[in-house]
Amino acid sequence: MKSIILRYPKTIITLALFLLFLIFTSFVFVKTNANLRNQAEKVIHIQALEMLNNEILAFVSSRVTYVNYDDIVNKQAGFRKELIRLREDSELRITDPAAAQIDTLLKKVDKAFQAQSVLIEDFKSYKSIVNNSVHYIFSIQPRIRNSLCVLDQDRENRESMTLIFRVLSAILVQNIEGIGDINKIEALINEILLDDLNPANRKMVQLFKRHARQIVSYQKKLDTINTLVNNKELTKSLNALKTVMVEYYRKKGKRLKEIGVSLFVITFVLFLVLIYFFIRADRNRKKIFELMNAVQNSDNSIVITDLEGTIQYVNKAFERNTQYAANEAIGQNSRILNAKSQPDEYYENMWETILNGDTWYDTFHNKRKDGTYFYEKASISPVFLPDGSFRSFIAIKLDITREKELQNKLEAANQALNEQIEELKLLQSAIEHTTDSIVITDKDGRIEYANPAYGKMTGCDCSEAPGTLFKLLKRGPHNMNFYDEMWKWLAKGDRYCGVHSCETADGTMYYDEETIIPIIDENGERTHFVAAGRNITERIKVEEERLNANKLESLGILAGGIAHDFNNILTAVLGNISIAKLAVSKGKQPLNYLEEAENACVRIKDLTLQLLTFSKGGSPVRKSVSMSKLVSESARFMLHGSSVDCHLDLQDNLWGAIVDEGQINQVMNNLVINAVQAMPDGGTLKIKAENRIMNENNPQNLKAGRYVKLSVEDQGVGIQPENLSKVFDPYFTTKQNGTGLGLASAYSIITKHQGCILLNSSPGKGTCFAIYLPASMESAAGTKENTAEEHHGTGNVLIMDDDPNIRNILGEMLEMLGYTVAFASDGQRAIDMYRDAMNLPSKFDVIIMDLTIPGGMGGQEAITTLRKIDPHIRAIVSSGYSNDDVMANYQDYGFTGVVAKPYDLRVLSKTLREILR
Amino acid sequence: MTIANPLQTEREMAMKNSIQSRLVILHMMVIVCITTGRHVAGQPLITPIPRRASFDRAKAHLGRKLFSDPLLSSDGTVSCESCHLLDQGGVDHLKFSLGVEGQLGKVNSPTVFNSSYNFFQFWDGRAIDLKEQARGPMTTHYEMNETLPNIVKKVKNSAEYPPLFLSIYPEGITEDSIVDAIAEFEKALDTPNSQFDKYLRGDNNALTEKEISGYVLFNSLGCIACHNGVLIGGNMYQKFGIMKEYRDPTNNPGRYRITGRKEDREVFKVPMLRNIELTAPYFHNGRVSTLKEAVDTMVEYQLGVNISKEEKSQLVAFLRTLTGEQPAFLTEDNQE
Repeated sequence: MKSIILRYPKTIITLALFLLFLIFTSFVFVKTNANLRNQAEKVIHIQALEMLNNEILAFVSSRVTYVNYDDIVNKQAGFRKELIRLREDSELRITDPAAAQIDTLLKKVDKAFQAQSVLIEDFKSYKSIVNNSVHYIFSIQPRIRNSLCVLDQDRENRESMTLIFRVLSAILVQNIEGIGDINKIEALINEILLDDLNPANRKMVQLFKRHARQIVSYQKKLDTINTLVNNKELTKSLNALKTVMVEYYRKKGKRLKEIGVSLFVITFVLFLVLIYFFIRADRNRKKIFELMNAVQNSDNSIVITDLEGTIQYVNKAFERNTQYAANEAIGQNSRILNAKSQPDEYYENMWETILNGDTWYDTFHNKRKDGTYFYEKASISPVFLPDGSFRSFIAIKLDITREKELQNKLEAANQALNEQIEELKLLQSAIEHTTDSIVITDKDGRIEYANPAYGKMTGCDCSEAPGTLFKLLKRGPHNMNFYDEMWKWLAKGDRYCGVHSCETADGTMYYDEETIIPIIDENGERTHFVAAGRNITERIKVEEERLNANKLESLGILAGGIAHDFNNILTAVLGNISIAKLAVSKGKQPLNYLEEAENACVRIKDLTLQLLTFSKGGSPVRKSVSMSKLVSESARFMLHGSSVDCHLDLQDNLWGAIVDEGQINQVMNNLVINAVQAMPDGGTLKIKAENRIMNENNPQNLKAGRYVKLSVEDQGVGIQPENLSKVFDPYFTTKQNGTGLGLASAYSIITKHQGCILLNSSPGKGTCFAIYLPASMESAAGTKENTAEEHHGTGNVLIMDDDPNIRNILGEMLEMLGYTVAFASDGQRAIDMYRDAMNLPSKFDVIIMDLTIPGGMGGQEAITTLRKIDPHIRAIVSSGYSNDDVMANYQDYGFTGVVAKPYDLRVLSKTLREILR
Repeated sequence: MTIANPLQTEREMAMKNSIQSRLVILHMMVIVCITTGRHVAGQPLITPIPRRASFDRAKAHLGRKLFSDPLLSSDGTVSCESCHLLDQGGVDHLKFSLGVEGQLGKVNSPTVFNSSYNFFQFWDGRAIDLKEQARGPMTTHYEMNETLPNIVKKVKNSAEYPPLFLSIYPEGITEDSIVDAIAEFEKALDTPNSQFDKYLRGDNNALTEKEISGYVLFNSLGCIACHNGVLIGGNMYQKFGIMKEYRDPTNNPGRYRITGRKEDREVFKVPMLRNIELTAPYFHNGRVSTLKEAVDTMVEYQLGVNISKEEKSQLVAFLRTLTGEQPAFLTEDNQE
């Protein structure tokens, strides 16, 4: 509203004035009208009064006989009412001097009317009387005449008669025509003499005279009234009143009319001015509308703010760019757009510029309503008013987010490019300075680039190299097949690695380790080759020397080890022989010492056998073997009595392998022992056997084909990384009492079997050995165990042992041999079972008992009781403690036989067969 | 016209003839006018009571309640109706009415029926209308003997009036609204359709021959000079004792008391003759109680003529035809 007034002050003021005057004019017009109507009413009232007055006057002056007085009564009442109305009306304006005059006149009229009313009432009464008397005298006239005419000759009568007629005619004239002298009539009446008349006539004439006198007397009064009424006191008052009132209202009306006319003129002029302003405003409005349209639909955001930055106007582009609707934005400070990423000084600078009256150009980083950011190129300038001051700013802004983003991307890309260039420079520098020769050729082998090292290596001038064919490789003593192979290789797109013996330009031979990489473009086409070469002549020489040294070193260790072992055993041999000789000399039995010596010799034989496996002569004696059986048996025997938990995972239908069973057993034993020793605190040992088909190019470098993979995994201490390369070396050991031959011989055995042994270890977590052995083509199932020395038999056997594993193994062994087995976990249970089954067909034929049962009845105690039950009982004692007295002298303790742990199937079968025979 | 010398016989005779002939014409004219009941200007001398009175019904109901309520008197014994019995022609048939504490009035109670047509109220015409009239009896010490402020107070204190007044008068109970209601009720007390009115309206069978003869006499004797208009009276003053001095036993000075003019001694309002049969006794002093006596008095004192017994009887017969129907409003109001 305020802004509208400020914008169109002239129009608004004119409009206000126009309306004001219009209202005032209307008011005056209405007032004038009311006044005129009022005046007209007043005049009508007065005219009514005049009319009534005239009628009343007419009534008074009329000469008619009888009258219905209701008429005059109503007229008078009407007059009274009109008068009251006038008085009540004018009393309202008594303050006005003219009105006061009117009021006085009204009072005068009222007074005149009151006076007149009294006269009228008198007139009515008198008129009635006169009328009646006139009527009466005329009505009796014929009778009088008749009476008197009888005596027509009588002079008196005639005279009286004449007089009466004269009176009558005078009254008639007076009454009807209103002329004549009442006093004369009165005199005539008096002249009528009654004395001469006879009594009857006298009475009649007397009555006549009385009525005539009444007439005369009341007629006089009526005349007086007539005179008074015709004085027209009331009429004059009324006229005066009328004149004054008409004048009063006329003046008043005239004044109002003058005011009205002048107001009308002013209003009309204002109206014209208003129309002028309106036309001008309309023209401006159209112009403004066009401008507004342009601003509103401009592609630039246009914002108008006040000096504090409060938004007063925004266009559509603003709404689009900022997502603020116009009504949301207007009234807000423009700060709502500030992304706060630009420093405060930036904005302060802007304000300083624009408050100075200058235009500011720059870029804003702004925030949309939804919180996303955008860039705007803005120009902000003050909106100058005609007087040079300004109260608002206009900001014209263009969203340059995309440009900015592109710019940023470009910059980033540029930077990346620079970095790449730097990197390339670095690479180039590296390539330039590396000692390796690097050549880049096209797909036909034409050199595009050769680094200085190339020149140095080949003795060519590398600056001349580009354009020439890369012939380097053909200098060596290789045949054409070699190169064909290489090209085939490269044609596949693979990397080629190879060592070539080459010649320099001056004919010097050198070894070149060349790596050639084909460069493939996105279409899969070879475009370039990169050949990196290195003169490894020196390295080859060094390696050859070192290999020799290593062989010597190994040999030294081996020799040392063998020497050591041999020395030790030989010490035993020599010692025992010496003692035996001493014993012989002293007459003592030397057998023990000789046996010891013999044993030592056997050990030497074993050692020799082991050493033989390293030699070419120790080739394995191969046959088809069931690997599952081999592994399980080997593991079972090795682990018995240890604290290690074993998980045996053998694949079903495991292939067999053509191996030297003894050697593979040895390998497994060595691995398992190592594993168990690596887990002094116990743990889980996982032994796994599975079928594997190896393709060519396998990481193990095995021939393609079927393999059985055996893996032994422990959770032990693991192998230190520095030792990884040495563990397979003979006589390398980390153990106090190790021989250093276990893994070395395992490696040797497996290698000789065309397999491989792999090692994976992490210190503290464990070690895993994996063995790949070639699988036999035929199934191993058909391979028969050599059981020639195992004695099969029948009978019921009760096994008493606290260890369920031992019970099971023993049970399995016995069942394998054909026996029926039952189990007891301790002595007492065995006694009970034996006693219960004694008289049955399933009576136990033999009982095998563990010597000692921790916390339970052992074999020694049990046999005493069992002997009492069955004196013929056949009992075998079993124990790991082979040096126990009971084991040595079992028969003294009541046992029939003895079997030492670990069980040997052949020993066990033999013992059982002998006992049961 | 000059009066000729009586002694000049020829001229006398000529004049006598001329006068005689003119008198005859005049007389004929007068007779015609009188017997048809019309005055020269043409308006009937007597007009019938309008068939339907115009009044405000709601106000009239309230007015009737007030009219018959003795609350308006000082001791609560006298109401307007005490003297203006609505079933008795609007009068109490007493020479003078009885006010509070048995006080006797000084003038005969005129009827309230058709009273609204009176040009002024009271015998001496001192009240300009019914509203002004109503204040009179209420405040006269030998009538209802009460002051208007007291009446207003009493009406205000009553249980039934305040809501009734408020529903009609926005200003509620005031002196003016009380008398206005009463006056409005009195406007309703019209008695139209008398036999004579029917005759005036053209029903020639409404009157008997005797009654018509009475009517002709009423005109020709000049009764009509004062008793004219709708009420057959009630529209002018007249002196009691025009042709013969009337000795009033009550010594009522008439209008003289109001105007103080000696001409107004023994001047009274000419009373209406409507329902005259029902409103005995007659005159301001109630001196006569029969119509015959009243006619006698009028003929003797006012007209100064001699008439026969037969003629008097005819006049009385005519007067009896002026009795109209009882006010319709009363019967309607009773039914409600």
